Amino acid sequence: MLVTLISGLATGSIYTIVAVGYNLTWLTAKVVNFAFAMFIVTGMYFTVWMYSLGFHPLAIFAVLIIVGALIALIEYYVAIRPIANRGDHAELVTTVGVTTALQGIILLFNTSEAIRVPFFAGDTLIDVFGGGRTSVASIVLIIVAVVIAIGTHLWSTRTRSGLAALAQSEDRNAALILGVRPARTAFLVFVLSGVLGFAVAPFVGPVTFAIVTIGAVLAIKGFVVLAIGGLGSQFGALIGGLLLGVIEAFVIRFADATYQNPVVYLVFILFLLLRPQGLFGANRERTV
Amino acid sequence: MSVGNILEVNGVTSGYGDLTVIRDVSFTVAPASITAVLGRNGAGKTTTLNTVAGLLPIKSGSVVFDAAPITSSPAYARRRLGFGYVQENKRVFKQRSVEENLILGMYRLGLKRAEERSRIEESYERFPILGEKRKQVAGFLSGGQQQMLAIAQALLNRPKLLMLDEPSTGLAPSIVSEVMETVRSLRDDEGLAVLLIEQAVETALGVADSVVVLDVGRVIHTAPADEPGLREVIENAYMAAPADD
Amino acid sequence: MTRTETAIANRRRLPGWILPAGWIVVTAFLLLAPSLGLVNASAMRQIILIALLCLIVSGLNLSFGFAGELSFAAPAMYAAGAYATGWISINLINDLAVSLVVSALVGLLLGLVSGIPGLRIGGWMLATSSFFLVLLVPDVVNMAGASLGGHTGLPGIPRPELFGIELGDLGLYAAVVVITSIWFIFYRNLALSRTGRALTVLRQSPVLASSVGISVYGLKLKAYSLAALPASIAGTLFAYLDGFIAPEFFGLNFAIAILAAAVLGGKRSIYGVFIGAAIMQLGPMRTSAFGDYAFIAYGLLLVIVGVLLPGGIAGGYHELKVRLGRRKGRETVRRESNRVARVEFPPMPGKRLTVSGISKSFGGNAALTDVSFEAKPGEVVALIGPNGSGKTTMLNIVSGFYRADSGSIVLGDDDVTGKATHRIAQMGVVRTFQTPIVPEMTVSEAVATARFGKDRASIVETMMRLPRYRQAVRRDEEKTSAVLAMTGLADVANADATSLPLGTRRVLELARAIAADPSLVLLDEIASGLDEEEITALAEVVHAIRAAGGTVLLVEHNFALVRSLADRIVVLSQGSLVAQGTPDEIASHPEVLRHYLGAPTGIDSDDTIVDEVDASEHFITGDGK
Repeated sequence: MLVTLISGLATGSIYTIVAVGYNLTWLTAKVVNFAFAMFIVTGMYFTVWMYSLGFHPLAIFAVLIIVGALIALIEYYVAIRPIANRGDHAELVTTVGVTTALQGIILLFNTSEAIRVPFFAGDTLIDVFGGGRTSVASIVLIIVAVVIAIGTHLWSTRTRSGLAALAQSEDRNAALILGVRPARTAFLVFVLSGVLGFAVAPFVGPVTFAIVTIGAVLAIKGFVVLAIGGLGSQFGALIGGLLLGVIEAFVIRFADATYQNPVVYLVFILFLLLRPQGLFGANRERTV
Repeated sequence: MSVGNILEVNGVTSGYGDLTVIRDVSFTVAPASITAVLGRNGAGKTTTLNTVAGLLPIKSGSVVFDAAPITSSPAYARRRLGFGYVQENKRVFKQRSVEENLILGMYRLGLKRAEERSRIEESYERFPILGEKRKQVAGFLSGGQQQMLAIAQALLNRPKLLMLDEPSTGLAPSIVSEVMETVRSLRDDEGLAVLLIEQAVETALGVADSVVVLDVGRVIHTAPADEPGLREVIENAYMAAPADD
Repeated sequence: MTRTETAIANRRRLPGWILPAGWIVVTAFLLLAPSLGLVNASAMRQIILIALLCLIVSGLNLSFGFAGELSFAAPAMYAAGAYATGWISINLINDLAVSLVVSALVGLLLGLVSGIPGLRIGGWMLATSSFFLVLLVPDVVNMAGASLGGHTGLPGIPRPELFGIELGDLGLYAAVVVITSIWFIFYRNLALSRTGRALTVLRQSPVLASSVGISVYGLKLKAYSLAALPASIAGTLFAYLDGFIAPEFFGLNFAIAILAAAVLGGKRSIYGVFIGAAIMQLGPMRTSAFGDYAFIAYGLLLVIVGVLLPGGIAGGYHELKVRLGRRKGRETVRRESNRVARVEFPPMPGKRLTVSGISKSFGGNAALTDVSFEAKPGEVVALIGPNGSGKTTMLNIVSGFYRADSGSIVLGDDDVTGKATHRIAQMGVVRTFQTPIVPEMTVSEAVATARFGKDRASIVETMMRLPRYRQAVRRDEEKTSAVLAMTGLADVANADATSLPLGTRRVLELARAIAADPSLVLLDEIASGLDEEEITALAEVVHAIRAAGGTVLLVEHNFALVRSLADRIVVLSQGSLVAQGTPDEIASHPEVLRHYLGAPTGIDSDDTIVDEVDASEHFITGDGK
């Protein structure tokens, strides 16, 4: 039982991180970056590659941070900023485009088969109370997800820069006249989300596999987490993601893997119908 | 244009996108004075203030602040120069708390923590009700309280010029008096220059030193507030009958 | 793509028979081509695949291009139709017609059920739930066990029969061509129809849509469900094509390819669908040599087209034509001042408005407190008061955009308190907006949108251009031209509504209001931002509405205008009713002057403690004012 729970929390951690990434850019620029999950996947492939070249973990992180910032920067200027105020859901199309393009780039250098991602602290397994074994990597990932969710929550609620970022998203002009620079904020946070997505890859990879197709699946499940936790709430992303992962794990364990997605879909639909703002989402004012 | 004016607006034409709302608007604001901008709805009063604040691009003309031209300076840079702008409709950040709003009022001013703290306490002294509600989310304050918060927020950089857009809108007369008292004392005690838009003519005349009257985007009259016959000029601008039959 | 769509409407009208004739010619040509030896078996297969892709892409266009909601569900609908057909033709009855009908119903049902939860929120949530459906295909197929063949696929689907006759390759080809052709006639009819324009309004401004009687949620749901239809029908044809289907044909990559085809061709274009589908099917991306680069190509295409060419190839083509046309010196019509000699409207079914005890608070702030008044047919009642007095809030409550906390609103004999916005509009309440909301279409089309909520033809009637639809269109045209003539807009009837200056836009909104045969006309500061001449022209129109028996409630700042127009004036201040009476009574009312022009500072003549009130006067229009 416990091992199922841990496994669920570990997968859920990935969903949490995706939702956190979505929230970051949503809170500061009202943009949800569908390609964020693909950042993580691309990062995984980079990790595998750098491992095979014998890079030291710290070097790997350094490279990931730089690459993540670069790719986010490119995406921002090519696919996000030009359509910023168009209003016809143009970024839905372009971010899906970026996801696909990244998928293609990965496939240029890899096959479509799943690749194992080694954990930098070793692939030891530990015995779990109640039977079964889990990996150290899983535990570490859970901790990482909690840290990220709480960290971003604290950033946006307790720091000056976070406060300014939220304010300019709420009312751009009011922020401008106080000296906040909305355009720069949106840009910086976007790049930050790229760094986050790539840097977290060495933690996520060992728990799943590096496989191109999970990019879209993670992206979708990240949205389910937003529906459960509430768009804009990092805390909601944490609870929602972990909850989702645990539900999935128990369905797989006690029913069948075939029922995993249908159950998740049902949960998703239930939330959309019964509690559209999610568990912790803001009760938005009635804007017609 | 006399030397020493805090603000000089020279022949400014501006508007939204292709639409030109104000044309060739010129006026000045002297230090330690209150200038009221009057005119009926749609005359271009808010557009004028937004242009001075840098929120709208200037199509022609220039703006000089404290003897330095700021026409091409971006909006976010103007706060540091000494602007305070209380926009209409109590535009505080309604999803943030009172104290967070005040912190934002000192964004990137380079103040030390101790200085920031003391300025916040000053705000609470000036508006005690804000001190009582410092942790409250601003969206749940009453209109009058939100207005006070907006003013407190604008004052946190110790501005040289405070612009207020219809601060008395929707406020009870007693609160309006308080607000105007505060504005007056800022002028008298701290030498603040104030640019004030008011639809409530009497309220404005009661506190202003000079008056700029706008109609259909142009300045039709500038005068000291005690000029005889001023009220009639203003009332005509407000109640002007369109050519009827 | 406003100008381009208007350009489409404005282009020289071709003789009415050209389009149907062309359609028949092309269809006939395709049907005969194999017998004439023009296409061989492999070309026939390509044409079939292109046709199927066209069907699916047209569905995507319906929900994304027209209703404005991006949906990735097409492969799931495709799969639903294919598997339904596969199962039925193996186990029950193998008939093309039966299969088509069943898969059409399955598609519609699936569209409806999957659309309901997501459409309330729309945007990303809808896109995600539609993407999710595609994820579910293999799982659902597996859950159905052996009957659907599981993940290895369902083989053994027989050749289709039609009324007992087995259709060979040629027969299936012919069926595909005919079905695609017929669907596209319906699709085109829907796109270029009142419903199509209603979808445009819906897409650009849900606020405007509700105010003219369109149910935003209802119409979106209809479009979304309908979008499933061509996809599921295509699924039937696909199942028969190879006699074998498997979950892997209906995956996420296919969803992205469909989106790419739609975006490339033009998400609102009819003929662009063919271009996009053909390029996708025939283009280099489908060859195996290209395989490795396919994803990058799709991705780049989505980004580049999404950013640079939002209307796709078709949109770009029209944009080009517009630019060239303009360079030849065709200017947008500049409206000359043309006051109609005497404005007169046919009788209007004005109803009595009774507002009783309305109170409304936002957060902790009371915007309105116990306000009551009446407006009778053939009367203009003006609502005045300083900023923050609650007049716009009142207007929003009467038109259904806000719900009052207490009190009632009665229109004629009907209690409309708390009713949905579009329902209230359907009862004849029309309104204008502080910033005119003007959709991207011609002026006469914009005015005609007023009638959409009242004079309705069903989707089927629209697609098949049945008599009910034609009559509705005719009534639209009659009413619209009459109203345009009376409001002096006749000369700009075919101009792009968004190119009009502010004064003309206000007249347009008035014309739209009148075209709806309103029982109550709500005017929101129509004079603001206008010069004297324009105000006078507007005043004449309002006079004429009153003379025709309409009920008018007017929110206005311009006191002189109010004096000349209103029969009665209601004065609000800080949410309460301060005075009401005739203009003369109000003008000499001492309280009014004080509230309107503001109390002199220092004099607090109120002994009672007045609640601090704040009214959120900023009604949020589509422009985010």
